[in-house]
Amino acid sequence: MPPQAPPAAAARAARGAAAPRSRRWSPFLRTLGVPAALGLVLVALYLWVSAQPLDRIEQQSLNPEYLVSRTIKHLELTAVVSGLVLLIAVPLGIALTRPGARRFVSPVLAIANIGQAVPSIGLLVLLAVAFIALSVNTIAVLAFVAYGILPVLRNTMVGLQQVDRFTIEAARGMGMTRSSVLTRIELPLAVPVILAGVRTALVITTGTVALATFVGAGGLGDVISRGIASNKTPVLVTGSVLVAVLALSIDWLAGLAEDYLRPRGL
Amino acid sequence: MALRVNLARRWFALVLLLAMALPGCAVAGAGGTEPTPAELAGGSLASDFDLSGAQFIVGSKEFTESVILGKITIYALRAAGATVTDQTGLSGTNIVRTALQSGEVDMYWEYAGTGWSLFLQHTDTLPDPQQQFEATATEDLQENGVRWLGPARFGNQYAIARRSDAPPPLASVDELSGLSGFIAENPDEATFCGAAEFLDREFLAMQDAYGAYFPPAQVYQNDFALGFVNVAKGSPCNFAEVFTTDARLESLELTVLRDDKNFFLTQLAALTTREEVHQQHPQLGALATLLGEKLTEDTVIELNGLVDLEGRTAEEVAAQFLRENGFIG
Repeated sequence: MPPQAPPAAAARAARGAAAPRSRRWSPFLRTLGVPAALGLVLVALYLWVSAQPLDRIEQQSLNPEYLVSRTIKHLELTAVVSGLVLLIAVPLGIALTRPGARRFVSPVLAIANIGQAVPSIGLLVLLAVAFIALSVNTIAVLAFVAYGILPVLRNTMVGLQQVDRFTIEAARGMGMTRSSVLTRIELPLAVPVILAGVRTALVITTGTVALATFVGAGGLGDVISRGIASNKTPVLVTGSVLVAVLALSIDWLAGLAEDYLRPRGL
Repeated sequence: MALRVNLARRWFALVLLLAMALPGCAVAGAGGTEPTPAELAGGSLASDFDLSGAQFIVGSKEFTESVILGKITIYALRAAGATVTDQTGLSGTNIVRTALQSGEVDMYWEYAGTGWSLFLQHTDTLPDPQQQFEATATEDLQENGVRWLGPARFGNQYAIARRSDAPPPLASVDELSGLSGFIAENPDEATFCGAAEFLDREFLAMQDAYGAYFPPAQVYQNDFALGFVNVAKGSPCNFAEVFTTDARLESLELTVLRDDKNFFLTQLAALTTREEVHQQHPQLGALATLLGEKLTEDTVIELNGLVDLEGRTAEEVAAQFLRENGFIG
């Protein structure tokens, strides 16, 4: 039986991550340009909101105390969800690429696919209605973890599978044990692809956590849904821009981490 | 061999897809039991009104009560001879209101309080339901060209509920004026769930009126329908915002706290339409008034319950309402 080809989407992700970085942007611009642009967006948002005559309803949402509390809750949920996704998906991806685990690959990927295919909001509400004993925070975390596992799992597997077989054989030939081949050869060579998956998961999670508002788990979704419900454009725009800026900031941080953690010479 | 496996997989996928699609069709198909043409022609509406040749698109919001009111209006208009397109179940006040103003929908049932604060953007409240209705109707007509017909006898009203089987300290709270004492003695238990609209419009004023202030960190914003679930299980909140006409109060065993200072206003429901539609068909006013007079609070709670608790369709329930009042045969 020929080795199973990685799924097409994962292969694309792997190629994209492994391709040489675009040289149009100097490192300086890439490191400082993004936060500067995001800062400008926030300043523009602040100036625009300040210029609006805010009524009583808008003031309830557009005050520093309320916005900071929702942002903190949003970050907390994002951190817990992302942490759990990494803890589950990376070891699982490593385990599934070990020889002998091949027969588990299809079922596990199928489950991860379902986790992402089922609409998060559906899963969220289903858990809220079906599991009376769970707190809203647990419900939100479960639903978003299910959603975020696939990209990390798939990239971990693809990252490990694309490591040159001859390199591994050479390492075994030198007398390295299986575990040291994993930690000293396979994982370092797979890091760029794994990190690309982690970055995707972080951004996806930051965005989907905005749905936590439906079950009462808070976050910046509160601000957005107030803007929609009461038809207040400044509130709606503020909530949406904050989520977007947060997601882009986290993407930028993950990009820096990617550069830093990438093994030399790759 | 590979081809056969491939084919088998495709069949399997197709069967799976169908299996997923079928329940959806079944639900959509079960919407039937609309009144027959003979029934429509056999009641008082057919003899008292003549809207033959007229064409209307009737909308509604997504929740049960709004859909039932929409269906009642659709059948009533058909009984009067009009051709009606069903656009009920649009998701959310803003969407159906925008559709009304842009002409994608010709009429839908709205609540006066929503018009006053959401469409006309007032932040003060008026002391009397009728006064609120009239002020809203007058101003909405002048500013937006939207005519309020009716109103119905029933109004929808915000209320605060807790679970009925709550343990002692919470179980002793039966009226809203008991809240401040409860919050002072059990600050950790003072948790509240509300939907965005309520938290924006009513929550501050309610807290002021009763001198009962929930700690801001213990106020949870959720989707309106999930508030019922959250308060029924007591997590994350012991108190939640509800509507007085909602049948889930009974099914989820919730107790409504008595509004002993009459803070919450009854928001009368009325059929809203563009003024041009009303001008072309002045009979609509009389029709809305006629229907509205039979739509008392008890009737509406019963109709909501038939759908939410007994699983009847909004179509069946709307037809039953029209039949029982002799509007159709």
